[in-house]
Formats: sequence, structure tokens, C-alpha cells
Amino acid sequence: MIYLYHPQYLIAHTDKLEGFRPISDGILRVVGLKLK
Amino acid sequence: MRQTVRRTALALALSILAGGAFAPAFAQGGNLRIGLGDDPDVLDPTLSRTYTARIVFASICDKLFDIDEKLAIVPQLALSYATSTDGKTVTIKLRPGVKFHDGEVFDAAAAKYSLDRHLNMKGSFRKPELASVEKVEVADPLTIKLQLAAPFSPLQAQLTDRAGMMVSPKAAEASGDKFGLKPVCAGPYKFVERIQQDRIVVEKFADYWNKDQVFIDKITYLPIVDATVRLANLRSGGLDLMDPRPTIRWARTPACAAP
Repeated sequence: MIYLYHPQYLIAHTDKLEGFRPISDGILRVVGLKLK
Repeated sequence: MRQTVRRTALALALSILAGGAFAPAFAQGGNLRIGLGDDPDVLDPTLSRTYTARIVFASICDKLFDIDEKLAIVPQLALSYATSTDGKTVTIKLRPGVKFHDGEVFDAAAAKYSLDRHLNMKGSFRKPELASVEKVEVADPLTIKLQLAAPFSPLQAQLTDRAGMMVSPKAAEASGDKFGLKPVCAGPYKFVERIQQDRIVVEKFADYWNKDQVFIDKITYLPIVDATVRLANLRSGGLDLMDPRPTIRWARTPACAAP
């Protein structure tokens, strides 16, 4: 299999949320997140 | 939305009570609302096929390994991964002191059970991902050995996703192919309820091995298929975080720069 492109993952969150770490596999990790 | 208004009112009331000295600090607790691009399929790591289910699994089912910001493979429920010189035996050391949501202990026997389930369960979608594994052996209470038919270097990467997710043997035995209706794993949150096409609710797991890093009490996953509607919900305060897909449609609208 030859990949000719890769999808772009844009993530949006409120500014009340802190500690979000974007990771390129597009999975939303929840450990370390805080809500103001 | 109403909840947000109430919370804002409460915060205001508190700040007045504190004579204006109240600073918006991070509190423990809260309900994180995550918008998903579609309703996930069955929440059983052995049978699951969808991307949105993987997003939900990130809170309920820990894996042997995880991926970090630099795309390196890092330990999660496993501590190390060593391949023998002939490449056909993989030794995985497991993290001690890990419990499943039902209080069962995570050990080598549970890891073997989970991998054997991925390999043998009828309808398993993990079977091809673990095709190189011939046998899983318990070497000691916190070590498993995978015997491979031939050396297979992508194996560790497979264990960073659903094939590496560990399930409670007791719960899996009891519920069989209905496990996905009430998954019992070893992740930071435990499953509470699911209402098809509406929401999936999970709550903080008090005995999580890394509980010091878990700050939010509850997460509600809300499937909202239309990305524009999802974004509108985020902007109006109905959501806190949203599933990125599909990005192209809204990435080019000026709306996305606002929140």
C-alpha cells in the first residue's frame, strides 16, 4: 500500500479546557485534561 | 446550555462572596462534553471497527502501549517490549498495581486472556492485526511472552491500538459477545451508560493506576454528525471538545477561528 496523502486532523476545544495534547493519530486522550 | 448559564451564575456568586478575590482556578471535577462525528459501533475492543469508538476507548480501555506527541511508542499497561535475537519471541513486562473497573487485578493471566480473546473470539477484527502471534504464554505474574510464527516488527505498533486493549477476564467471560454493551477495562474512566444515537457517559475510575493525572469527573460523548452543527455547539458552549472530522468543510470557514 502506498499512501499518497494523509488527513489533517484539526481539533477544536473551548478555552475552558486546558492540558489538551494533540497527537497525530487523531485520538482524543483524556488523561491530564482540566476544565476551568 | 442551561447548565453553562447556571455554572456561570454560580461562579459569579462565588466571586462576589469572596469579595472579588475569587480567581478562576482549576477545580477537580466537571463534565467534559466531547462531540463525535458519528455514533460509535459496538464498544468491544475485539469487535470494534470505527474511528469514533477508538476515541471513546481512549477513556475506558487502556492499552499495552500508547503513542506520544512525537509518535514514539510509549508504555501504558506494559512497561517494556523485548524481542529475542531470532525475532520470534517477544517478552512484555506488565505494569504492577493495575486494576480493572470491576476491581479485578490486571496481571499476566489477564493480559493472556485479552490477547487470546482478540485472537480467537468469533468475529474478532483484531485477528489479522495479531496474525503473527502463534501463542501467548504467561512467564511470571507480570510477564507475558508472545511466540511468533516469523519475526514481525509492526507488532508493537498493533498493541498501541485496540489489539493492545486489555479487558477484565471475569466481565468478558460473564458477558461474552455482549461485552460491548457494558465494557469493563482498565482505563481512566469507567462506562456508565449509553443511549444509542444520543450519548455515551463515563465517570472517573477511582482506582486508575495513573489517577493523579485525571482531573475531570465525568465525560459525555455526544454524536453530532453534521460538523457545522458540532462547531455551532462548541461555540455556544454546548460542547467543550470536538472530534476533528470532517475537517476540510469547516477548516476553511471563518467561523473556526473564532472560539
